Amino acid sequence: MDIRKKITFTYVALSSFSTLLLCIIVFVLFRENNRYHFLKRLEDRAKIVASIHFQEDPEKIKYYSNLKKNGLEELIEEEEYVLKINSTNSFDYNTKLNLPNQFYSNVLTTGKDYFEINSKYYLGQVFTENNQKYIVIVGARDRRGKTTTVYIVKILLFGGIAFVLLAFFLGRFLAKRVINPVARITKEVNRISASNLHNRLPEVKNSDEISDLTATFNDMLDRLETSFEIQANFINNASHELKTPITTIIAESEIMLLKERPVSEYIQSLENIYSQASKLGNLTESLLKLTQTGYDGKKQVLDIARIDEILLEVKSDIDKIYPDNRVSIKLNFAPKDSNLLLIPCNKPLLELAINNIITNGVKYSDNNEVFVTLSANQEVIKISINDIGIGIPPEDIPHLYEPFFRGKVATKYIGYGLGLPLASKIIRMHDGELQVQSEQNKGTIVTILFKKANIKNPNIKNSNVES
Amino acid sequence: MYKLIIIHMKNFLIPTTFERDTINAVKSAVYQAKNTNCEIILMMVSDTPDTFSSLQFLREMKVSLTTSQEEVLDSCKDIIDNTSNCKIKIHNQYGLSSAVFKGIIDAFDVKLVVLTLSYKRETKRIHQHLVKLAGNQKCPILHLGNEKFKNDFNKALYIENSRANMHVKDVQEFLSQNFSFEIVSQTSNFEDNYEDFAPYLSEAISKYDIDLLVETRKGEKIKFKKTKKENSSERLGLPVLSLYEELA
Repeated sequence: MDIRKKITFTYVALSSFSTLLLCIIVFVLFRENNRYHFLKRLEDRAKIVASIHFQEDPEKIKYYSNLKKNGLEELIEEEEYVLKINSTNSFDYNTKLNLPNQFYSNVLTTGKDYFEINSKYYLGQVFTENNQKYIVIVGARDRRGKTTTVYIVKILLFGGIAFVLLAFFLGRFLAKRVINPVARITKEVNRISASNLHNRLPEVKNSDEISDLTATFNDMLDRLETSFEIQANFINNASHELKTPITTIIAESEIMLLKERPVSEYIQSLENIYSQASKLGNLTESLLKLTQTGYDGKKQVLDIARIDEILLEVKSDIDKIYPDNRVSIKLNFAPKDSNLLLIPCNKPLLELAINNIITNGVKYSDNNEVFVTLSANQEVIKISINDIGIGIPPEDIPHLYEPFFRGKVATKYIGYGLGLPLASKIIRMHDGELQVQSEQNKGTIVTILFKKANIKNPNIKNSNVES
Repeated sequence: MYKLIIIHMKNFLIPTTFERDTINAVKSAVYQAKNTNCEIILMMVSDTPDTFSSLQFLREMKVSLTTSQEEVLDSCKDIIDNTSNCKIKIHNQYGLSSAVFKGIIDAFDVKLVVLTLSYKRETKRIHQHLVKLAGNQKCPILHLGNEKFKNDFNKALYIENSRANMHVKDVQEFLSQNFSFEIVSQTSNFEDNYEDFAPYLSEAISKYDIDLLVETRKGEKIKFKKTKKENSSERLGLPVLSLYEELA
């Protein structure tokens, strides 16, 4: 049974149950009300009977019987008896009456009682006249009560059936309304497969469970895509990223080996080589771990690092590869409060990402000036990297994050098209946003945003290129 | 421009039954005091004697320490005597409620509650009650671990409670105002899958020489359960500093 049917049947069952309950209550209360009013009438009759009986006036008796016939509403099978009470538990008995003893004793003790048999009611009441007690018993058949009861049962029955039918259709409608968004999501999810993992579900605006589901699903796709691509491109990424430290190590050792040098220079050089090698080690480890676990945000012990320190470290790395670079790190917009610069991250990877982006700026501007500006406040950490380079043609921008993509104008520069895709993935993993604004032959502004509020509620869909 | 400088007096509350690790608690309080003037309050709690007669009440309220407890107390006093800035105070508390506990914290101006492992393992109901009550107070709590005593803490691992939505910057801000260590790592709460998580954690802990865990907590309704659930962050054996989520 699918959910749609389940919802319909549950709805029908629940509404039938509540309707049934309502019917029972209406029925019981209706009968009680009928009985109450009929007994009230009998009571009134009993009063008149008692009064006529006590006065013993033949004229009045005649008048009463006339009145009963013409004036008062007729009671069916009406009987009336006046029984004289002799002592506390004995009275004149009328043989026409066939009522249980319990009834009489109740009347004697409480002064009033009624008895019902086959919708015929007998009401007994005690009256006192000249210190002599009488039991007045009035009996009549409540035919109207019976017919109205049957009538209301009919109404309730047909009404109930109609209501259940209505509930069925309403339930179908409800089920459809509830299920539709889910069905739509299923349909859309079916479109997405390993070959087009970059597709996302259209965002639903109203913030209900369905939009949560969409967001969660998109989030999952993000992680899936990231780890999928990182795993698929491990060898590429590793070779690409390991090249830089290895180049430094080779260069350093080559220079040292050119001629004989004093011990202090060797020590200095070995220290440099050591630091580069350990960086290499860290990087390999991080990349390996990334490939191994995919990116499961839950299984990570993140480093808490200061973003300005990361930038300065990146700068010193770049200095080693491009000794005459013109990268300037501007920290004057950064807040005084160092806590605002704290970011939970995987430090080697984040360094790598920022390094890749800044190096791109240096490379594609023929070593022109690159400005790196850091600003931060309570909500966001923002790094913007401006270069005055060749820029990116608009038609290339959608492909920026595809591994091995090389723009047309970029072909004269050495590169593999791996740096930016990896950087964008790493930034996405840190719940960051990467925006690229570029104008051909004028330059490129790359903005990296880490929103602090976003860290709980990742919203990475906007990380597409804005040109 | 005048600048008003308020020098906070750091006072420490150590609920104790004078087990041996009380000495460690006193030592770490002394280190946390960092040469500022402070008072270390050793608090012994016991149930209010259940009696109607005031005389019997007074008679049963008597405190007596066993020899080993006396020894512990003496060594605590020795430690304090060797410092110039710390004072020790022994407070006997009869009966405890949330309001009373808050009153104690206010009255002694307590800045940190230090809970030892042995105290948390006390089986008497009043001690368990105190541990729970402390959790609902806004005062930070330092849970001492079972590892060897270490003088001071430098590097902390922040265990982020995914529901709390407290960014590390807020936590660090609070820490730098009150303590002297910094957060170097962060992880999400691993309450459910400690087993999977343990290797990553121990790797990070050894890599960065982490000597303290920082977690946040929320007030919760006090219930007494038969089975005691051990907090997984305590399983690592490191001391845990627990901050109330609405600090500031």
